[in-house]
This record gives sequence, C-alpha cells and structure tokens, in this order.
Amino acid sequence: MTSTGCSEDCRHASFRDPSGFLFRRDGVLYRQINSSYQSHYELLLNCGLYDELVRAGQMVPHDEAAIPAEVTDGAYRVIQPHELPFISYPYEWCFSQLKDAALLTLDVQKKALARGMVLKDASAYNVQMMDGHPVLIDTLSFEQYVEGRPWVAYRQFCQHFLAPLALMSRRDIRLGQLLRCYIDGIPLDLASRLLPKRTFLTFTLGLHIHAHARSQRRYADRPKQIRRARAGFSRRSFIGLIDSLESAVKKLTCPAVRGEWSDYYASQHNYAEEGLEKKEAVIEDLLADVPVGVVWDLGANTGRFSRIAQRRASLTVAWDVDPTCVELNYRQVLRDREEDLLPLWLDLTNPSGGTGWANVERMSFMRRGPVDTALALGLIHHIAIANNVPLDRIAAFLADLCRWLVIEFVPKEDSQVQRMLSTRQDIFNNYHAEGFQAAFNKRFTVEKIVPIDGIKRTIYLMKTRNGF
Amino acid sequence: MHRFLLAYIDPGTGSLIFQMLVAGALSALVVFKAIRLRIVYLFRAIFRLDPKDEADASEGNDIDPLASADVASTGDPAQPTETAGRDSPGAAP
Repeated sequence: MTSTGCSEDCRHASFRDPSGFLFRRDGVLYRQINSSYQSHYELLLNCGLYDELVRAGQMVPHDEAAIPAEVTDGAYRVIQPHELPFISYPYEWCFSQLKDAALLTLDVQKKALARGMVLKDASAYNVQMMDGHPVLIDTLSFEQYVEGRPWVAYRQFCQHFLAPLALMSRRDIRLGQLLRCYIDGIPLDLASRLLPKRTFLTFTLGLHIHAHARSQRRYADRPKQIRRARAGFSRRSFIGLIDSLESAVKKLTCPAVRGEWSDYYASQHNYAEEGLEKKEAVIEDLLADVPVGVVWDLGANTGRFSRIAQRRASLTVAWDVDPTCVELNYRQVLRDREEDLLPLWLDLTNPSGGTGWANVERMSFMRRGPVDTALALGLIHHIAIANNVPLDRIAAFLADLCRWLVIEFVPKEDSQVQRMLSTRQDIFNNYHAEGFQAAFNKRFTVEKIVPIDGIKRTIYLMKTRNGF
Repeated sequence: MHRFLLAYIDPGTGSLIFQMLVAGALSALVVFKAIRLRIVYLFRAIFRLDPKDEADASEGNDIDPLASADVASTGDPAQPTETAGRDSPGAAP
C-alpha cells in the first residue's frame, strides 16, 4: 500500500483547460492533449523550453505514450507524465514553500518568454512539491507568445501567489489559510482591504495589489476599454512586469512569529536532549520490523522524528498545525537536500476538505490516504484534551488513515497535560492508559508497548484491524 | 471577440487594462535597471572587482534586462536567448 498521490481524482483536477486532461488507465497516469493545443505543444518541444525546464528540475518530465486517446473526439496525443508521489495544495504550504512556488512560476515565465512562449495560466495548483522543491506539473500551461499582448495570467498570479504571500508576510501568517476558501486565489480587493495601510506606500505591493485591485473595480464589465488602451504591451514591458513581480515576491519575508510550539523541544522538560535521543531510538526500533512505506507524521513539529522514520520510508509527509514549525522544517529540507521529506501545514482537528467543483477538484486530507505508517507522537493529549475529541473517535480516525501506527500516550500526570488542565475542568474520565487501550483495541491490534524511562509516557506500535 | 479575451482563464478586464496602463512605467523600469547594471559593470571593469561581488550587488538577478529584451525581440523561438543577456563579463558594454 502506498499513498494515493493522484488516484482517479486526477481527472477532477484537470477539467478546466480545453487543451487536455489527465486520466488513469490500468493504474497508469496519462495526459491527453487535444488538437487545439497541438501547435503550442510542438513549439514547447521544438523551441527547447521543455528540455531546459526538465533539465533544471523545474518541470515534471513526460514520455509520449502509444495508447489510444481517452476521448477520441479532438484528441491529438497522449503523454505519460512522471507520477508524483504525493499531491499537496497551496493552503498546506508554509510561507517559503509558497514563495518558492511563486519564484519558480516567474522563472519559468522568463525562460518561456526568451523562447517565444508564455504561461497562459499561473495557478498555484500547477505547482507541486517534488524531491524537496517545487516543480511545474502542467505541460499544457504554455502557449505561443504574441507580441503586444499582456500577460493573461497576471491576475491569477497576483491572486494565487502575491496576495497570500503579502498577507502572510505583512499582516498575519495564518491568512495563508484564505486559500482554502478561495480556490482561484485571494480576490485582490479583499487582499487590498486586509493589508496594512503602509503597504500602499511600497512600490511593488502598491502597484500589483492596491492599484491593480482598484483597476479591476474600475474597469470591470468594460471590455471596450481594452480596445482603447490597446497601445500595446511591448516585450520590454512584459519583462518589466515579470521583474517587478519577482522583486515584489523576493521582498516578502516570513514573519518571525514565534509559533506556539516552535521551541517545544527546547522548552518542555519532559524530554531533555537525552530523553529525545532515547525516544528516537525507540521509534527506530519499533519501525525496524514494519514495512514502513509512506509515512505521515501527524503533529511532526519541526520533523525530528519524521527524519527517523524517513530512514526506512519511501516518503515522509510531516504535518503540523504550526506554520512556523513547518517553515523551520522546510528550511531544513532545503538545507540538507532531503528529497523524500515533505513538511505540510495542517490542523488535524479541521483537516483539508474536498474543495472546488463538486467537492472533488482538490482532494481532502483523508482522500489522500490511507498510508502504510502513521506517527502520532506527543499528539493525543492535544486532540483529546485541548480539543475534546473522545479517544474512540481518535482511534477510528487513525484506523482509516494507516496500516501501522506508532502512537505515544501522554497521561494526565504529564506536565504538559497538567498545564492544559490547569485552566479548565477535567471532564476526561476515560483519559488514562486503560481507557486509551480499550478505545484503540477496537480498531487496532497492539504489537508492542514501550514505556519511556523517567517519564510516564508510553509508545505503542499498533496494526489496524481495517484489513488494508 | 477581441483576441485578448481568448484565454481559457478569465484574465480580468481590469487586469488587462491595468497592464497596458502601466506598460510605459514597466518598460522604463527595465531600461533603468539595465542602465544601473551597466554602470555597475563599468565600475567593476574600472576597479576590477570580483564578478561574484557584482552578482550580489545586482540582487541576485543575473539577467541584463535590456540585453534580453533586445535579443528576445528578434522573435525567433528557435534561437535560445537565455544566455544572451547573462551577466557575464562578455555581455558588458
């Protein structure tokens, strides 16, 4: 069993562009290219842009497939893109992941323009994290450049990248979650209203967000104005636009927000460095006899234990609710070139749902599982006590998510739990080791139990009874 | 239908008009940036600075925008131009 990455859902995510679509046949992912896109596709290959981007690791490569088209009417060709191990979405990325995706898009646009092509869309959903960095996944995003024509994807780039980055950087990092509500990016008039007034005075944000939003308002439903303003948009202006957007994105930095758990390991005394090393050894030992496969580390913090799992895993996705932890984790991935570790931002008590058209365009968190192995270390008290989720519901949730589970039980005597209970009534009568085991025994078989020396926490290795 | 409106995504009327309204300023920015870059080249040539230092001075953007606009405007997609405007000593005036 592996992560589904892109299952049958792939077709639900690629229906907007008439140039082609993704489909799956006999378990293999293909992309059909329609005749309307033939000239652009041939130009992409012949002008050298495809080779340049693939060589630079900026675009997913593909092979041409000699199979019949999925929909023969209007079909031109079928290609087989190299499949991604996992699909993530912009609202699950930390600040630097979104920023790197934005800079990738602009760099690809620059390279395309130099070879007589242009990006016809600039959706953040056309970018995925692969091998530790962002790559463009949509082969059909390019079209021939027409001199004098403005960038048709300018609005989309500003909504998908610049607006969320500006809001995260200049207002509040949590505003990145607005991308969950607005599937086509954050409306610029909303971004303009939410950004601090001082950003009106910065050239790039003043131009691309505030003045741009004002122009949208002023010229909405007045297409005749385009004809009048058709003085042209020279190639030099186009380059200036991309340079200016690049400058805007580069100037935005991740706010130095001290996350709730950013210094978790350093500040809490249950695990001193020695204790953490022991815990690492326990995790490594428990995973030694397990077909680890794809791992989801739930509540990964900065990924210390994700990296232990990654020694045996094919891919580890490190989810955490704290965007600062995800940011720190991603920076370490970049620094150490950790290709198979993917940090993502997620609130487990309200995970990403199926969004977009018919609720299937973007897959839910659960839809992208189940996976081989899940880690839930130092997590259960945050869900059960801080969020009032009963233990049997937690067990049912995890049993649908993974085949093997490494979970740490944190008892009430633990100082972290004591701190949580210090300001509220203790209504958690079943929250004890026996209650935990009783709840999980319905969904899992317990394979190993390892008490942690010196503190009262216990780590369990379990196998789901769900049978997948 | 106007050719600007043929994109499969909605480019937004206001976004298209806005680009054309600021086209002159964007173009001027490119020229300004190129002139600034060439002045830096000149100083580098005079004082024989390390090319690495100069690259830092140009904020990491290693393309001479004026050169790349000029070369790219030949409009021949078969001729790769990505190296034409590279910030190399040979590209300096």
